[in-house]
Amino acid sequence: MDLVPNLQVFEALGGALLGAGGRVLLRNGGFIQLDMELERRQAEPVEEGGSNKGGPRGTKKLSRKEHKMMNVIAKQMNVEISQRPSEWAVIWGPSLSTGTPKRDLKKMCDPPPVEIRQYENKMFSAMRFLDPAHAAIAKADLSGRDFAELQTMYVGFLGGEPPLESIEAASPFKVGLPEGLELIPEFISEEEEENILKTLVPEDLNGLGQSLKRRWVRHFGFDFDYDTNNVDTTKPSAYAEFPKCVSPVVERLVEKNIVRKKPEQITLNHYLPGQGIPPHVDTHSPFEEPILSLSLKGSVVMDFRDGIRHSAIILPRRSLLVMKGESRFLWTHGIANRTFDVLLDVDEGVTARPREPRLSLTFRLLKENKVCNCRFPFMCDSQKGKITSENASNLEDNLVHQVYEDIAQHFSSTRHTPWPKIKEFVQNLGQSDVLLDVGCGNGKYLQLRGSCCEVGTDMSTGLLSICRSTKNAEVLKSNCLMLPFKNNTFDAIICIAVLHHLSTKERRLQAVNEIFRTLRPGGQALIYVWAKNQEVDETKSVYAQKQDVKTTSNDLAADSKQDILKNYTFLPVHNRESDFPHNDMLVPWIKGSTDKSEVHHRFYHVFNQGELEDLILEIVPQPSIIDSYYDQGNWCARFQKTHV
Amino acid sequence: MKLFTHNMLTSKMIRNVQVGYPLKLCASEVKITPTDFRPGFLSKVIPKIDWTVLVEAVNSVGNTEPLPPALAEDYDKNDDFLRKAHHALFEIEIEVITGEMECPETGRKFPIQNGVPNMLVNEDEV
Repeated sequence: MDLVPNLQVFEALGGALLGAGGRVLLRNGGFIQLDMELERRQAEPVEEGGSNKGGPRGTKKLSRKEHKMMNVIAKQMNVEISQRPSEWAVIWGPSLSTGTPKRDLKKMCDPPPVEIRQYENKMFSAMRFLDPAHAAIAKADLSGRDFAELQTMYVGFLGGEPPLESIEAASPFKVGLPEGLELIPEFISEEEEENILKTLVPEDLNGLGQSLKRRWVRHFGFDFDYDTNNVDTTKPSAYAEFPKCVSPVVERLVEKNIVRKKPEQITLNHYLPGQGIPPHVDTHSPFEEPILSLSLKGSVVMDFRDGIRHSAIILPRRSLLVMKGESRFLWTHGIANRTFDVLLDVDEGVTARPREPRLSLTFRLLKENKVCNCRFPFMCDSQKGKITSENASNLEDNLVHQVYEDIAQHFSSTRHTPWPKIKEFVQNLGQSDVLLDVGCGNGKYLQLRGSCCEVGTDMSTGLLSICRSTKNAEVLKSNCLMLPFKNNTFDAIICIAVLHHLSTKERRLQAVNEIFRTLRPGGQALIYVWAKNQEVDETKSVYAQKQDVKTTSNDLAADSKQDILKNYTFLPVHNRESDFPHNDMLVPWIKGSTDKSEVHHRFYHVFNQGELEDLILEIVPQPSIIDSYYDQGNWCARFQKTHV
Repeated sequence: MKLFTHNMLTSKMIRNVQVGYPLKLCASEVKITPTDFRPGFLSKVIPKIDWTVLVEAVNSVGNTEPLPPALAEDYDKNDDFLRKAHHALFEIEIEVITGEMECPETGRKFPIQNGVPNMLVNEDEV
């Protein structure tokens, strides 16, 4: 792929240097983006050495702790710690890991240091003072003091010069900015910015616009639908007219030939410090290139990614970002959820820059024919494959049934505890009530009430034989689309975590219809499906909690079934660190221990809120929904087949 | 597979099959596992059973005492009858190594292996 950096951008930025891992250097008082993914690292444990008796604060405990920390620093920096004051001091605490800007650290010392060096992933900063006596003052002032909750500062002296800040990765042009990306600084004046902020940002954001999990948004022209990542051009937004304060900007876009016509859609995003936007590519077919983003109020670092390539750019306030070509169609763009960015400032060197509230206006041009012919078919909704009634069955065979056969044993070992609400439903049944468990898996909901009036079905031979061998449960093999039972047979049916493996709406409806058909009048069914939203009422689902444990790889490349998966490249693979951005996707199953793990990809259609109820209400004659709720990352519904 | 389950099974999902019930049972290996006899429970289950189909299933399994051909009028008070029903419905576990159930209309066979019937039909059969 062509990696020629866009010279216009560099000129616009006053000459920017790019490097691998998303490093950006701006010469004119700008910064370098150093690393998006700083891990807060704890000190390595060190063995008790000879203790430094009588530190500057005099307390034995402080002196011992300080000695330890200094040992850690000496090791990590490869510089000796000096017992006597020297011009170089080192401080444990305020650092890149804690997001402390250099200027804040400077203010903590009187007299201030003349130079500060900070390091990626390190909990310490080195400070050079004009005189060793100044360093001694700093140590006396700061050592043992708290600088943040439960964070104590320790100060020591260095026996030599600390390493230079690592900007080797910023060596230019290893990974350039994505092709087609352009930044126009000062696209609007300060007065225009003020005017927009005054008009568009109410003091109280509550109850206005649309509150997404991580940010506040409002749409003008047409609403952007986050479920489909598309706009419905037949329905203008409640804010159909663009606000007046934006008019000069829109006109300037056309005047300067940045766009060939006026944009029809604007999304206003308001980000608080700590808020970001997940990496995404704007859907190809509804929007022309370029996509434009105007930054106001605060600056932020935006990340661009294409596979392992990572680039980053600082979006200063009042600048306009223009995404065309690869940067529009191929690279994802996103903003990390963090309270500070780590940058390389030409004056200050590597430093943290706290985020400020930021407003952005995204301008989009609607595509009339809604067809995209870009060069990246695998990223393109117009060109990539789709799930159809023709390939749905094959898809489920390959990406659901076969996978469960492959992981049956491991899957079963992770599924032993019945969920309380389902258990309750089953145990509330009478002894002679006949229960069907559609998609019974390893049978964890069978034999919960000591009655033999029940049967389970599943597609996986492996799981069915586990049902037999562990509890001798009554089970049979069948597909939920065609249940082999007479009409009006069961007093109760449960169908837990099954429908989300069906790949088209028609098939999901067919399965619900089969449940309805085999249910006797008056009988009740309980259905659980995976929710797109894994966090409701601020309670993370078990799945979302598990995401905190990093998996070895989510890469399709790790799956041994490459020949099968290549037919399904149009399905995005869920990245465990984010929400489900799409409804139809592949979710990796990691089998085995970390050193010998295998990745298997299962197909999921995750449900929107209300989608399950809508499906049930399509059944004729319409059943009555008794209860619907959210439980453990699932949407759940209980319905009754009413007497005719 | 228990005969209780057989009593509910149909091959109706196959294209052009009108009723698909009952499935013709052919068992080559039968396992009998005693379970608790609960008369009150059974008298509630029996109304849910197609008795004729159960009688036929018991006959086809062989190796066991035949059931009365018709439901006794006072079956819920007839202990002997309930015991027989209990035995047929829940104690008879059919495990077929090379056996099957058969669709009465198309002759399509559904194998039973290690107690698990395979009722899967291909999507081109429906």
